[in-house]
Amino acid sequence: MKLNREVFIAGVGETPFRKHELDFDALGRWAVTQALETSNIDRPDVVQSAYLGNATNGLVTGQTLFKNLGMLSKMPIINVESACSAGAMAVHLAIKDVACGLTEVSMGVGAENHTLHRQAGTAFTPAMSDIETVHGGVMTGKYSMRATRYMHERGATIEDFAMITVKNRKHATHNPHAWFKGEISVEEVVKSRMVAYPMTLHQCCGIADGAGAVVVCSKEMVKKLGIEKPVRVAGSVVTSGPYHNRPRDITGDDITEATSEQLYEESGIGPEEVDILELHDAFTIAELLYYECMGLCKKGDGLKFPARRAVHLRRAVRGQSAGRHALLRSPHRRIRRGPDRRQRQAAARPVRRLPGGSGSARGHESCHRWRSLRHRTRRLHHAHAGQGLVVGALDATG
Amino acid sequence: MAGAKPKKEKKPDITFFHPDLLEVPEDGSPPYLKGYRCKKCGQLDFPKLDLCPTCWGKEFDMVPLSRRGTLYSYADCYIGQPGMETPYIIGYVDLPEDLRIFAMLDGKVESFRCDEEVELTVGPIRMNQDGVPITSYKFKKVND
Repeated sequence: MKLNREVFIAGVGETPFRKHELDFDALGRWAVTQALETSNIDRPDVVQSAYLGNATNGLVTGQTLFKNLGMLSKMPIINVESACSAGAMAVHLAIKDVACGLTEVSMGVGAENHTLHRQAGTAFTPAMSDIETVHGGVMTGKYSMRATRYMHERGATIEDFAMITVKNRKHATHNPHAWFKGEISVEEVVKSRMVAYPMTLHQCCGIADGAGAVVVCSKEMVKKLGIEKPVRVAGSVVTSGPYHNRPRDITGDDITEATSEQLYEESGIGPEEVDILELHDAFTIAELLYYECMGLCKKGDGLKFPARRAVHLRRAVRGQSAGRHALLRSPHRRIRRGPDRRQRQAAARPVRRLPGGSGSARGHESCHRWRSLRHRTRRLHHAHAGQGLVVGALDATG
Repeated sequence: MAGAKPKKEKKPDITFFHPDLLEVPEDGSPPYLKGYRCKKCGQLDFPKLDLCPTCWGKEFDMVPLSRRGTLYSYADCYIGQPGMETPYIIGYVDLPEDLRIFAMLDGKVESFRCDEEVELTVGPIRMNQDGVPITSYKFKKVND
């Protein structure tokens, strides 16, 4: 989506991701009120549209979430369902409203409580009207088929996949909202319960509850709200996935490839310029595929990429959202660009801070302000779900 | 109670999936999957689609598909859908007609390999809402 005018992120909010006793709407209000506060919004009639991404919690979820915030009937609330990318899709739509000039301030929210409502020990599926679902199709199995083919063609091992969990848990260590973090060995990952060979339990994202909210606004509103360090949205791309019923290569991903390319073109920011990437790694194999699809490394080099990254881990930007998304920093970039290497290394020690300078350590990685010695930080957020995808590039100014 | 409407009989759930996809001949000859060739542009698809996605043609000729194909990839699933018994095996089978079929595989876990030849079979894939098995297409190792 080509942005018609500049759009900025004014503020964000996020709950920790784990099992919650609070239902989706209470979790959502937790994130929303935080996002409003960090955007310096202090009355109910400022936000002009809101989108809620939710996949499994029923009807009119957005209206339920906003019911007692005094914002009902002051703006449209539109509910968005797109499985894993529902929240990202909601943010995309909020960006679209502001970019098109329909609104000056909009909100994108994602809120979900799975564990209060679903049977434990079962896997996610699309609707039963899907022929593959009737025949036992589950997301865990489908990604395992990708992994099995990847092993067959590239000679990858289950340990190669496990390394990604080890890296991501380490990256998540300093994220206060991450669920799974800290040290874990390759052996522990490999020996955890088998979900669908070769994906073991620790290679699959946990079924977590939580919420995140983003306030986006126009340049004029940045001034009116007094946002000190706004984040400019450099681009946002969504597409639906193609219909597949013929042989194709599943060691790649056409949706991620197409949207990444479009985003790089529209934003003028290439993959080599991305400082921080939040990548949708629902399963370890997914992350491995996306390295190549997003142009982080050459076709065929994906397997070498995480090993190389692990070497540079101590210098990599730390943190991870909810313990299920990878956060990368391109190490080869720092190496290749010699002159300011020291500065870049320093930049790799960010201090997490919410927009508006609250100094709180809470917030979502992808929407978060990073205070660094580098003047500009280019961040990329990626979400992928079945037949849909969102890629957004965030360019921090200041 | 007088005047009360008779309770609507619950329709039994399906036990065969689905006549548009699979033919199991009554004369005992081997079952086959049903491909659909667009009468307008000649494109062959499985499963049957409402419109030809290429030319939007609405009329199709049914074409029996090859009974053997190559197993492109597979997964032994130990965590399955709610209500389904585990483990079960799923796979992608590539047919010579340039079609890929997603199906359950009949056989033991840890026994399949990528690129091996598999053939069509028929068997239960899951229980229906009445607790009766639903029959559909599956693939198995050749000569198994």
